[in-house]
Amino acid sequence: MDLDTVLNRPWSGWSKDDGPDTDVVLSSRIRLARNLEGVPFPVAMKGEHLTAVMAAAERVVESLNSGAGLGRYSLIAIKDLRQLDRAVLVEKHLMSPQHASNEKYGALILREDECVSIMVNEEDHFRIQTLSSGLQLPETLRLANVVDDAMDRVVRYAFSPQIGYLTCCPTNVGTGLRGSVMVHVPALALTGQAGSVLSAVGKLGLVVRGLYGEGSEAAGNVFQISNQVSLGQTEGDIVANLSGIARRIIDQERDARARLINGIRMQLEDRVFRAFGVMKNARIMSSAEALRLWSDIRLGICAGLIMGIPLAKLDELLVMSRPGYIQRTAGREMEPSERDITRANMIRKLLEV
Amino acid sequence: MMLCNRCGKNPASVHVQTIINGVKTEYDLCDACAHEEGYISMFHPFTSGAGNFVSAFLEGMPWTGTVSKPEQCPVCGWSYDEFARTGFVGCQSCYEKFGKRMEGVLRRIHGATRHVGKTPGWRKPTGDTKLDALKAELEEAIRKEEYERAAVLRDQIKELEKKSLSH
Ligand SMILES: [Zn+2]
Ligand SMILES: [Zn+2]
Repeated sequence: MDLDTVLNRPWSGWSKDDGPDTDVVLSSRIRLARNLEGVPFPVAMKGEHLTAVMAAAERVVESLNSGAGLGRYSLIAIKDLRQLDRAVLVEKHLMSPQHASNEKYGALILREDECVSIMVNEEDHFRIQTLSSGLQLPETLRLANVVDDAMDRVVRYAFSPQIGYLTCCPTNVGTGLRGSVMVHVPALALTGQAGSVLSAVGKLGLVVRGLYGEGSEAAGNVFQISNQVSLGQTEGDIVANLSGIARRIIDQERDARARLINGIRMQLEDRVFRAFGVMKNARIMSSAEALRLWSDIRLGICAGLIMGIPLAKLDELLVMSRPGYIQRTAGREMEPSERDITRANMIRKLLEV
Repeated sequence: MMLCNRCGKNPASVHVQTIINGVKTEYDLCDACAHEEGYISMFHPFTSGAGNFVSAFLEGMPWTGTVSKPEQCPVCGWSYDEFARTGFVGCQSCYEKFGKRMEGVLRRIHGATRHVGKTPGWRKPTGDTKLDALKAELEEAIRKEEYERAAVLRDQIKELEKKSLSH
């Protein structure tokens, strides 16, 4: 795999194929936390244990690469990556910000289409992550299980029949599973319902997290909804519960969109096309402004007001407008003011038809 | 817009619900407060640093009963105090070593103490009666906190599995 290919493009293999319900759900994600039997967790690891984990990681890559239809995987040491390369991997959600500074022990196993990434020696020895477009948690779980099974054939996981997969933090013990969906709810935000809808979700034992900017609105009106409990439920039940709640949010957001279109169509059009006009013409653009405009334009595309721009293309903006991606593409570090100019240029080019 | 329950100033961006002894508690926190309370990193997709969150579960849980406080995990050297402070354990044996205490923590976090999900290949019944018996004995030893016996059994299991692989 050529890592540069992954880092050069603002899109990912998973974001290219349009999943179901992408008008509201940006992505589905599954994470499985796994550790090696008999090796201390990274927090208590010593140099000699690193050898054992890295040997296991190499067996894992070999096993994954020899599995039919599993894709091509590479093992990359964090210390071998340049700072801006790491920043882009974080911006593409392929590894955590904490992992980016884990030079001593950290590594990443990455499938070339970015649907699968495995952090090695983050909080746990292995953090398997699978990503897909739209709402497809069961499918995303299935992929995670296929990867997990291929790994299970070549490593021995720390496991207790009583409390399941053993993890560094007791919050992940049991299935080691955290599922999340990233939802875009601009109409709920515009109609002032986002707060109540999302806090109702919180009451169901799920965790809602706004990807926050400045001011009083979640940046881009994007929220992430995840399960909190990983023990005492099957993987299937956890995912079914999360899917059911995501489905309710989708319905509520679509209702709110319909009310906007039927009720105040002209105001909505005005808002959407103002955003579109600024986005296509601005010469200086902060990342906060880009996210705000992205949200309005995305709503406009979904409502059928703006034609000819596929959602997947617009969503490239989410990676493209991030500081790491801008600077890596330019090949050098930049001051924020210079980034704002480059960002405006890149976005104008993206939206040229 | 809902305000943060902690500082009362900023708009709330994170909704947190905990179930402790069956009692639900809910908070709405702003980004800054959620970060200080250790929730942000927990809810990040990659979920690192949930330590403070677990520590919160441990606070106000004085060590009671006749069992003496376990000092250190014999395998990794991690102390119970380190667990209480960071919310992390050092190795799988810490779960056995901090057993009773850990069960309380798990019940508070998950509302459950029994795994019902997937099982890794090596822990599934093998059909090899001798191997399965040893594994059952290992579970027993762990439950009774007989760590020396557990270590011996682990070695025997490994040995037996190596043999069956080389056949
Ligand atoms: Zn606050
Ligand atoms: Zn330990």
